[in-house]
Amino acid sequence: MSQTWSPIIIDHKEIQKNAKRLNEIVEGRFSVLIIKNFYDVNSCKIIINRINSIIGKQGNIKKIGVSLVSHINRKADYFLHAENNRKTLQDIFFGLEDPRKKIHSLLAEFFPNKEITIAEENGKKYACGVIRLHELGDSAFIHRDNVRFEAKNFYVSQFLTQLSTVLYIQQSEKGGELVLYKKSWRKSDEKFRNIEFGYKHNVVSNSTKCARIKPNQGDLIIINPIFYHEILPVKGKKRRITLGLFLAFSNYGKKIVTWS
Amino acid sequence: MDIIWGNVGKVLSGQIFELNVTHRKDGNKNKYSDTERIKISKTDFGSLPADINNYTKELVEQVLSGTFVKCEIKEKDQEGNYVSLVSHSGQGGY
Repeated sequence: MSQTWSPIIIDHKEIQKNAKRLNEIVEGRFSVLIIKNFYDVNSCKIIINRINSIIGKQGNIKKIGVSLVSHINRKADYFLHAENNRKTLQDIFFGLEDPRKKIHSLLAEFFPNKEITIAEENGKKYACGVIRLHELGDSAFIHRDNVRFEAKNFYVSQFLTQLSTVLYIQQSEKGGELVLYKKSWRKSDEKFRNIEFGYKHNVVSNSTKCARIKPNQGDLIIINPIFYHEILPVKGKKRRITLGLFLAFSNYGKKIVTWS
Repeated sequence: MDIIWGNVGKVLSGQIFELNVTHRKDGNKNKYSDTERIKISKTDFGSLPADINNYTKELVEQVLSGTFVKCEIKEKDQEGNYVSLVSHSGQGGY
């Protein structure tokens, strides 16, 4: 594996003229869409202070918000926790442009004919956004994100295409790069699975291309998370802080749903 | 207690499924092939009814099919099924 899997890099002012390029991410022709300067850097700094205040009270936490995949066998708890955490995230973004709404507006520009909503099931809203904190030495093993086969008992698993948006609220000084491999999950890969999280490195041994990226504070990336990816260990004192939100759609459906 | 992990394959009834075995605990007493028949004695999947007698094939397919699970094996029954406590295991991603 040596070839570079090219990214698409645009400025937030160039979204409209690049609206059709998201398909190239879905199809894996490019590794990632990086939207530079998507979110105000000063707002990022305010959010970081608020997160630091939560860390000061709660200690060493790895995430703020709720993730569906950590509740696969506890669906009722997922919706309960999603509701309980809604105010926490609202407080973190209070008085600022809510980055989740900004992501929804962005999706409306990419898909003008589709309705963009937070996913709902039986009248209950899914969680909307999870902030992940990576401290010195933290990493994420090679993994892929896809509820279509990971969480079949959730409504969002019915959609054919899933994408992942990640906003960089704070970038680590060193390390913390995102590495994307041009290899998507297949059933036979399960033999490489780690029992706790992700997959062994062998799962990407026949991948022909990869991309290694380190966006700046305020940048937003969109990836097709069925392609394997990993986060390299964070080095330096500054923690890596990101806001993640998934979205899914069917080619012929009128709706795009988001969740975390 | 022997433990094996893997993805739920073909669901044969409301309580029995084929497990595509990917991991085996070091020190298991028995050897396990790449596909084993598992009979559920208990699960931690909240989307399934509390009473396993109320499980149906369709419901188990809907909730467990393809899922990565841990099977703690209590015994092998007369039909050759491994009677197990079946629980969700790990995350393939976020």
